[in-house]
Amino acid sequence: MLGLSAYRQLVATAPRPTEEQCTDFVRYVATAHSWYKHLPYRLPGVPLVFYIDPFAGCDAVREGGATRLVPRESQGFHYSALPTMDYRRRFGHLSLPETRRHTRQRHECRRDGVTRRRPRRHQ
Amino acid sequence: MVSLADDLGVISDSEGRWWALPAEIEQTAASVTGLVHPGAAQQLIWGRASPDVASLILESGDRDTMARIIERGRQLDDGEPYSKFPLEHPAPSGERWADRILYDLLGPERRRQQAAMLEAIHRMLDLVYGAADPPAST
Repeated sequence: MLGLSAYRQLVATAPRPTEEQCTDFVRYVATAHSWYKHLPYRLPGVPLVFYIDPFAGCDAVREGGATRLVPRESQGFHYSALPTMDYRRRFGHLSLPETRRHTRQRHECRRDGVTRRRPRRHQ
Repeated sequence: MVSLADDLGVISDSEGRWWALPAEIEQTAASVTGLVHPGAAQQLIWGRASPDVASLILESGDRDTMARIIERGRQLDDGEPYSKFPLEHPAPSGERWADRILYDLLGPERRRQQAAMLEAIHRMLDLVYGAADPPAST
C-alpha cells in the first residue's frame, strides 16, 4: 500500500498550490456541470477527497497495453478537458477522484498497491 | 451511476503504475451533498419537499429559511415561473434550471459546504507539505 511518506515522495515535484488556486478549484468543482447529480441531498452527504497529483490536468493515453499520462495540448471536447497549462495555472496540481473518473473506470484500484486494468463497462 | 462514496483517488507514478491514495489523505475529505451546486435550486428537488426533508438536508438553515424554501418549492410546483438571474449576474456555470429565489435561500448551505471543501484542501496540503506559514502580522 502507498504510505504517506511514499506519497509525499511521489508528489515532491508538485509545488504547493497558492491560496488563489485552492479557492478557484473549490469554485470550479462546486459549479461543474452534472457531477453533483450523483450526490445525495441528505446530510451528511459523501466524502470528497482532494489530493495533489503530479499529473493533474493530463490525458490518459493507452500505448502498447499500458496507460501513460501526457500533457493535454489543446482544449478537449468536454469543457473540463482543459489544456494542461491552463489547468496548472488555474488550479496547480490539485485534483479529486471525480476528475479522474474516466481513467479510474479503466482501472481497478487495490488498497494494497498497484492497480490492474478493469474491463470496460457496457452501458 | 457511480457514487462518490465508492470512488477511490488514484495516482500514477512515473512508471505508469497506479496507486490508491494513502488512508491519511482520504481522511482529510470534506462531506458534500448535491446542494453544493447552484443547479440544486430547482423545482425538481424542492417542489414536493416537506419541512421534515428540509431539516434533513440543510445544516445551515434556520426554521424561517427552511419554511421559505419549502414555500418557494411549492410555488414552482404550482406552475409559478422560475425567477430569472439578471443578465449581468448569470447563474454560476450557466445553470439554466436554477431559480434565483431558491438559489439565494440556499446560499448559506452552499457556502458552508464550499468552505468545508476549502478546509479539506488545507488539511490535505498541511499533511503533504507541512503546515503553511501563518499570515504575516501587520
